[in-house]
Formats: sequence, C-alpha cells, structure tokens
Amino acid sequence: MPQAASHMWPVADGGHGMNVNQLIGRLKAEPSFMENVTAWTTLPAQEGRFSDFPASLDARIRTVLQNRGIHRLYTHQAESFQAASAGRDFVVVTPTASGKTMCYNLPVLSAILKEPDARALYLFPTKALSADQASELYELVEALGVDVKAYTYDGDTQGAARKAIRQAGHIVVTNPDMLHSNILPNHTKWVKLFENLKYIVIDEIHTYRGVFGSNLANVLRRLLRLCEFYGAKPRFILCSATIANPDELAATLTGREILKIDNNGAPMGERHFVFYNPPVINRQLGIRRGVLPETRNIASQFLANGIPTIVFAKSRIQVEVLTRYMKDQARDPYGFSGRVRGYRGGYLATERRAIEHGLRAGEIDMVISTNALELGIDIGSLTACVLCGYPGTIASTWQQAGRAGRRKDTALTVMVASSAAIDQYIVNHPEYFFSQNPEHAMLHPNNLYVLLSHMKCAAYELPFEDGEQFGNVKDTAQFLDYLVECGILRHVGGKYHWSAEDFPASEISLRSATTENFVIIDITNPAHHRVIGEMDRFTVPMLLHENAIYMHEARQFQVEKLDFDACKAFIRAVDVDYYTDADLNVSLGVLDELKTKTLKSNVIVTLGELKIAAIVKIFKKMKLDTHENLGFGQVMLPETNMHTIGMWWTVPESITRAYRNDALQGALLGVANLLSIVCPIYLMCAPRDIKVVYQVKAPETDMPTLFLYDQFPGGVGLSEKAYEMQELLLEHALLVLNACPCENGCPSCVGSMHEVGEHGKSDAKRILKELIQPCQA
Amino acid sequence: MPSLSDKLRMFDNGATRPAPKRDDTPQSQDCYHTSKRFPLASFSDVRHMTAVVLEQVYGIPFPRDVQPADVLFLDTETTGLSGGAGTVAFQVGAGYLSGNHFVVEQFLMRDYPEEPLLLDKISHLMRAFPVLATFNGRTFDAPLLQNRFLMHRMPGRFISDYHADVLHAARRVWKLRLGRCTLQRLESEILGVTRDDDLPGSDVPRTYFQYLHNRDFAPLERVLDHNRQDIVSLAQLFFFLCKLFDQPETAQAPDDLFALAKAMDKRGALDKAKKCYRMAARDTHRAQAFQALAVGEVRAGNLPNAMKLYTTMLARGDEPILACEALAKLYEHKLADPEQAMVYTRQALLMLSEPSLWESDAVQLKRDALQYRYARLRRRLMSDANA
Repeated sequence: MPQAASHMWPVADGGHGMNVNQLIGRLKAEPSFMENVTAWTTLPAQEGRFSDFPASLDARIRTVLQNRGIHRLYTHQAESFQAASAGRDFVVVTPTASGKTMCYNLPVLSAILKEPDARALYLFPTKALSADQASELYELVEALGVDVKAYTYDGDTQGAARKAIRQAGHIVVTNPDMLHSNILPNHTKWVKLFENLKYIVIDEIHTYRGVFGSNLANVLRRLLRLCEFYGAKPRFILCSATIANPDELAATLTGREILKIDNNGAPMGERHFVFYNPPVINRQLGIRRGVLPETRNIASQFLANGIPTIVFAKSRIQVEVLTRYMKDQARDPYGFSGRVRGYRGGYLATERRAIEHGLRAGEIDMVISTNALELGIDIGSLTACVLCGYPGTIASTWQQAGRAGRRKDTALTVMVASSAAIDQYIVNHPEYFFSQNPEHAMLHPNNLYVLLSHMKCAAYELPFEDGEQFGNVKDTAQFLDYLVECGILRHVGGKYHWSAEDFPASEISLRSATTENFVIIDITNPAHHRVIGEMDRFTVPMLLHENAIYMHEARQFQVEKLDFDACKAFIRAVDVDYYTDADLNVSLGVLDELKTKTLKSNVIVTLGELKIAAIVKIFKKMKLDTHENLGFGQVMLPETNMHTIGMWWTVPESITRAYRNDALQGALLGVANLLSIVCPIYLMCAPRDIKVVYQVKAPETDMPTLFLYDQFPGGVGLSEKAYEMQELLLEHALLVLNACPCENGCPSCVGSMHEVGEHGKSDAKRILKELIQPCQA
Repeated sequence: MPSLSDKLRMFDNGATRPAPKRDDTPQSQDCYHTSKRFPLASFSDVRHMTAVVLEQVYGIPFPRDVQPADVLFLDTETTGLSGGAGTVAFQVGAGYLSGNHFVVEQFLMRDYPEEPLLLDKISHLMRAFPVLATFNGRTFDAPLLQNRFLMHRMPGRFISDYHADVLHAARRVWKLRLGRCTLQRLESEILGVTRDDDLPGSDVPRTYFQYLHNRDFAPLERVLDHNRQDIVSLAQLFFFLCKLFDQPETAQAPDDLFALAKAMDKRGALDKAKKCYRMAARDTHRAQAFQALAVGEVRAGNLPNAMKLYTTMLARGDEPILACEALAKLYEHKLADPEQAMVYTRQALLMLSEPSLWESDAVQLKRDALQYRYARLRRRLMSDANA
C-alpha cells in the first residue's frame, strides 16, 4: 500500500473541525486536489412542494401524522394516494430519503382501516430491508392504536409464528424468493391473504433486472393467477430509483399498464458532487494511483474534521482495509475507535442493527460499507459520502450519494475513480452522469428457460386449463404440451395436472441464471473447508479450470481440482506473480432471426437467437505487471452450449473492401472492445453480462459480422434493447474513441495496440463512422 | 427455422418419452373402491379406550361418551411428499370397527378427473365418525386433504379436531427405546408384524405415475396392500397405546415404563405416574425415577418424603451432586436452615472434580451456580452470626 499523501490537503486546525461548507471552500482552493477533479457539480437546494392531506385520508392516520409534526404531504405522496384511491397501478420514482414509504403505507393502512379484512403483500429485495420496513410499519400502527398486524415472513421467521402470520397478518412483508419457494406453492395455507389481497407493494424495482427481474416477472404472473383463482384483484404500488425506463420496467414486471409518479416534492439541501480521478504516476504504462489510498486520503480529511461520512467500497475486503485505516486514525488516547465502523454482509444481524442505531443517534462519525447500506435501510442522514470506485450503475451511484444530505444542509459526495475502463469512462464523461439517466433496466420474462421453469411451478400450484394463457405467453399450450411429453404434466379432462413427484420451486434460484451453479471451495485450511462463492457453468471453464489462478476478494487462489460432474471447484490460497488467461474458443450459430433492418450504410442489423458453443483448450500464464507470456497449460473440459438472444451487424462489402484482412480484424476487434465498455452504461448491466465478438466470415453469410449477445441462457433482454438503440451505442463508441487521449489504443478504448495492431485505433474510428453513416464513395 | 417445441427439445434436458397410449378403459361415474374385513383377534382389547385414556395418550380433549367404533383410521397415498398445492392424495384408505371386525375401505382415483369423487367419499366417511386417528396426519394427511378440498372448491368439508395422531403418542412412549419411530419399525418392534414383499413407501408415487402412463393396474394392487397394512397397523397401535396408558404396569421394557411415567406426569395422572416411576426405579432409570418422584413430592408439599428420596440417592451414589444441590435448595428455601444448606452445598462442590481445561460447559455452569450459592449462604451465615 503506497504511503498516504495526506500532507497535501487541509487538516483540522487545532482540533476544531471545519464544517462541510468550510471544507468545501478549502478543497476548492487546494490545487493539488483540484487538478485531479474532472467535474465539480453543484445541485442547488430545492424547496419542498406540498399538498394538503387528501380528503379521503382516514382521520386516525391524519391525527398520527399531525402528532409527528406532519401537517401536509409532499406532492408525490399525495399523488400516490390519489392514484391508489382511483384504483391505478403506479410506480413512484423518487430519490433516496424523499419519504417514499409513505407513498405505499398511507394507501395500504387506509384500505385496511376501511376494510379490516383487506390484505397487502410487501416485497423487498433483501431480508435486511424487510426487517427495517416492518419495524417502521409497527411504529406507525402502534401510534394509530389499531389492530393492524404487519409481519415479516422470511427464512428467519419461526415455525410457530408462521401459522399466525398466514391466518392473521394484514400486511405480510417478504422477499421474492420466499414468495416463490414457500408462499405460492403452499397457497392453500394462505387463503385469507389471497382472497383479500388488495395491494402488492414492490420497492426498489430497479434491482429487478436481468435474471432476477425475469424470474420475478414470472413469480408475479403466478401470484396474479392464484389471486384470480381466489377472486382477488390486487393493485400494484411500485417504487424505483431514477433510471431511464421505470414505467417500462414496471409494466414488464407486472404485465399491467403503469402510471408513473416522479414529481418529487421533498426538499433537498445544496449538494456537491465531485468526480476525482487519481493522478497518473507512470506515464508510459498509464498507471494511476490506486483507488484505495486515494479514497483513504479523502475520507481521512472528513474524519479529521468530524464530518459524518459514509464511505462505500466495492468489496468486503476493501471495507475491511479502509475500516482498519480509519479506525487507526480515529483511535482516542484510550484506544477507543468506535466512532468508525465497518458494515457489510457477513456481520451478525444484531451487530448491524447496533451500527444502524449508532448512525441514527449520531454516535458514529464514519461508516465504511459495501452496497449493503445502499438500499433504503434507515440510518438517518450523513453529511458526506465518499465512493471508492464507480458503483457500477448511475442509479446505484445516486442512491449511495443520497445517503449524504439532510433536508436543509449542504451535502458533499466525492467519487474516486478506479482504473477500470467503465470508471474512467464515467469520470471523463460527467455529462452522461448528470444529464438524464441513460440506464435502461432490462428483463426478459419470456426467456425460454425461465418461462419453462415457472410454468412448472404454476402447474404445480394450480392445474392449467385448456386455452389458458400464462401472462402474455401466446404459446402457452406448446410449452404445456412439451411438459406433457416430458411426463411432468398430465393432460386430461381439459386440464394440465402436475404429475411428478418433485417440488419444482426448489429447482429454481431467482437470482442466478442456471440451476447448475458450481460452488467454489477453499481447501487452504485442511481442517476447515469453506465455500467462498458460486459460479455459473458457462463461466467455469474460463475461470475455474484446473491450475487457473482465481482471484477472490483480492486474494490469489489456484484451482486444484475441478469436479465437473459434482459442480465443485477446489481452490487453495497461493502467492504467485502471474495470472491466467483462458483461451475461449467460441463458435456461434444463428438459430432463428426475430427482427432485421437495413441501415443507410447498407449494414444489416439483426436480432435473433444464437447457439453459442464454447470450449477452452489452453490457458496462458501472464506476468502480473508486464503481461508477458510465461507459458501455456492444457485444459481438458467438455464444450458448453448455450442458447441465448443476440443481435448482430453484418458489414457489407461496400465498406469492407477498403480494408486489408488484418486491418479489418483489428478494426472490428476495436469496435467490439468499445461496445463492451459502452453497452453496460445504457443496458444497466455488469460488463460481463454481455459479450461482443466479431467474425470476419460469419458461418451463414460469409460476411464480416459483429455479434453482441446476452451471457445468460435464454437471454435477459439486453440484446433486444441493444437492437433498438444500436445507432446510439455505435455513436457513443465513437465518442469514447475520440475522447481517449491514447495514441494507438489502450484498455480504456479499443484495446491495447498489441491486440488491435498499429493502426487499430484509426481503423476502428474509420469503420465506426462508416457503420453509422453511408460511405461517401 | 426450428419451432418452439424443437427448441425446447434441443435446450431443455427434460427427457421426453413417447406419448401415452390413449386410455380406453371406460370412464366410470365413480372412483375405484374396495373394502376388506379383518377379525379383531390380533387387536388389543378395545375396551381400554375411554375418553379419559385418550386424553392421557394424546393430551387433547375427546367427547365424553366416545366409543371404539367412533374412530376412523385414515391414511393417504400421495403423488409426493412436499405437501404443497401440487401434491395429490390419489388413494385414501379408511378403517373402522364394525361389530367383531375391522373394516378397511379404500378409494383410488384412476385419473385426475376422479379426484373430486374420491374427496367426496372421504369427506362423507369423515363426517360419520367423530374421532380421527392417523399416523403423522396432523402434519401431513389432514392439511393435504384440506388443500384438496380447497383446490376443488368443496367448502364445508371439515376435518375433526378430535384427531389422535398416533405418531406423536408413539414417539413419547417409544423414542427412548427405539429412537426413530416409523410405522414400519413400530410394527416390527411393538406389534411383532413383519411384512412380506411390501412396496416401499418411496416407490408409491412412481408406481402411480406409471399406472397413469400404461394403465397396468397390477402394480397398484401393491399400493393398495401397503395402504391397507398401514391402516391395520395404525389401528393396532392405537388400541395398544390405549391399553398401555390404561394399565401402564403391563409395559415390559424399563425404558417404556419410564417414558410412560413421564407422559403420565405431564398429563397430571400423578398416581399412575408415581406407580410407573417406582417400577422404572427397579431398573436402569433408578436415579432419574427417584429424582422425578422427589420433584413430585416437593410439588405435592411432602417435604420429608422428598428429602428421604434425595438422601437415598445420595447414599446410593445416584446423581449425588444433583441430590446434594436439591437438598441444599430445600434446606435454604423451604426449611430456612442455611447451615444445613451450607453442608450440602460444600459436599456438592467437593464432589465436582477439580477444575480442568477440558471440562464441559455444563460442569462449569454447575460449578458457578454452586459457588454462587456457597457465597450467598456464607454471607447470610456471617450476618446472622454478627446479628
């Protein structure tokens, strides 16, 4: 770890800390800080906008709110109440700490007070969030002094309590996994809930994208199917962070038309958002100072001045390292350092509750957290926020930054960029970040695999009837007939009956693409083998082949044994100066073309289904710092096949004839690398969720082709969106290329020169222009 | 381009198989039904069954005037064990006393459309008998049938609250001796029955699905035999338990006697409990039985009897530390004799081994408790002396 360079920046004078405004002034006046700042954006304070209590709001609720000093509602809260009263399904899109829980608690409690049999189901993505929300509800209900029962129902709920919740819970707070694997398959035990279900509340819906979202959409189809059986017609109340398409996401998730409420009326203090790019310390190799020591330097200024701060790090190990540094700095003469705390998954629940309480009570000055504190757990409000690296999506970044800032006071967020390509892209293109959010949350509920799995569950829950349609799936009967063929369903008497011994819900995990995940077992300590992670079977040959060096929380491990049949990889901690890079041989086959269009440049763009066959035969050992090749190793693993959705650009001869063969290769590889950087920003996914590859001669057409596909069996909707916005993606690929200061290519744009060739960058630039615009020839 | 079905076949690894033969057995207007009578010779005397005995066995109230012929013995065969909404009871058997015979009636659905008919039959039978007896039925069979009634929108079909779950009672009595109390094990160990060529329960769902596919009824006969035997054994165990609780002294094994004593104790049948404890005390459970008896005496207010029991334990070396501690408590709290309490506390402490690195938490806790008691008594004695 390099020595901290804290001498350069303002420190507390004589033990009297500066307040945040003074600190902002000092930072702005400090050239050694400002020269690394790529953007300093000040968002002006916003006055609150209010509405009177709606006339139909229950008088008892009104009194409770007034006793808490609330005499009017924010505009978005009032709009939500009105929408609920009008029987609309709606999504509320507002930032952190804007009082959004009221948007659903008010209509739900109102409904129950009016109709004591009414029921509501709340879904939160995590257990911690459920617990937090339930306790907020208890408080409200207790203040009301009425007999409304709100319970959390999840894996931690005791057996005895479960029965009571099924019978008497007015509001059941749970998560999608529990709904899927426990409540729906046992719906007969929940008759009261299903018969009287009035509201389904789903918070943080922007987290339901990709595989998780595709699964949840189907869980909701099953839920609505059962509601129909029991004669209930529930309404949806959804909440989302700010993304480009919250209403589209909500509509796809629920299969309903959704009203969007994004008129945020909550007041906000002035907010400063600073993008900080660590200085380059090695010009030749383009190496920047590490994100961790830089974060530490900045955070230590805040700590020294006693400014309540939250630091977000990206991994557990980063949290631990930063916490240790900060605690050392904060230690008082008696060795007490409790004013600095770490927070992450893996801490005991009681410990986490204590930290949350300490934060609300102002007993903790600094908390260093993973994204565990990003979602709405109530920790009060802090003054400053430091992000150690770009959190991966713009929505997450705003949510994390939203943890700082009281309603009236100034808040400061500093984002420290790492050297990852996406961090560099964001820190150098602040305009994308601060203009309208470009992130589209995508999901694909009709993914073949996902759909088939959930149809099994649905049939288990209630026999399908002839002519019944599952969600918007027109081919429902074909799926069911296939399941009959497999001997899983029996078609008799006009119904499809579940006709197997298994419990289908147990075969699906909502959060991963395949059921056959490999577990990664650390055998370093022979007395204590421990599972440290999971990986899907398509990635395993790349990263967990025997003798691969596998990185986990910044530690090196070597794969000792890969048991492909048992889905287990055994790894042991090592300390070596190289990494491994498996040579993945991918062959693509087009299974089906779904949509196609021809651009003005004569480029043909196609959306379709692909069969991807991947095999790893060798891997390279590469030296850590110089990336020189130290040798090869053999891999003996079977080919993996994946069926997925992809889109591709077929480049016509009118463009390609101007390039020599190797120049064309370099250019296409460059464009593929650029697209890999740009796409995650628009498709709101992790860089490894999509794959961009090129073929100089595509199998069916013999034409040079650029393929982009979802790295998930069956696809999760990314390629569909990419097909729609392909022009925008190419344009931004070109922008990234133009904005990159490198001469002949670097990992932050087209890839390094030894990959794309000497003229790779200029060729990529030329071909990108030609793809977008008709060539002038 | 491949069709959806082709794609599904290509990418899903579910093994498809040729479509089943169309079923050409004529659809009847009813589900399959069979019944069989058994002589009562192999049953314990059913007259031991009274409301009082049932309450002792099962710990729930039963109708005052309940008769042996009021009990319906029920067992289901299902398409799976998960018990969720997709599990179906495709065969239900019910047994009851009729004159000098035990009758088993069995119903089976030959396909899904017959399920409502089967449920209707069963619910009529259940309505005719005030008391229900099952093996693990509180957890499995009753909720499952409830599910099925609901799925077929058959409201008002209820399952009696006078529900004797023989598994629960059997566990209370025989767990000490047998460990796991499966019906098979109870049959062989308690009833002395061995089954020939019995279909293992785990094969039941597969057998039924195969029948749906190929319509060969013969393997289903084995399911019916299995179910019938289950019901007969269930009834035999039920009446055996009644006899055992009515006349606990007939129990053979000391483990059973001790378990019975505890059960009686819990149900408040104190005289019977005392009798069983005394019988159990003649054997391996001497220390525990004496302790239980002593606790009973303290509860009843007979301190001298309790102290005699503890002193005997101490003299015989049965759980002496426990006996000393109990005596110390009695002297301290009931007899207000701290000096005598001190004597026993000290004795208990001496009997605990020297502290060692490897002693269990329980020993450590016991030592702490005794030392705490010792310190308290000492303070009290000193202050008494000063006063």
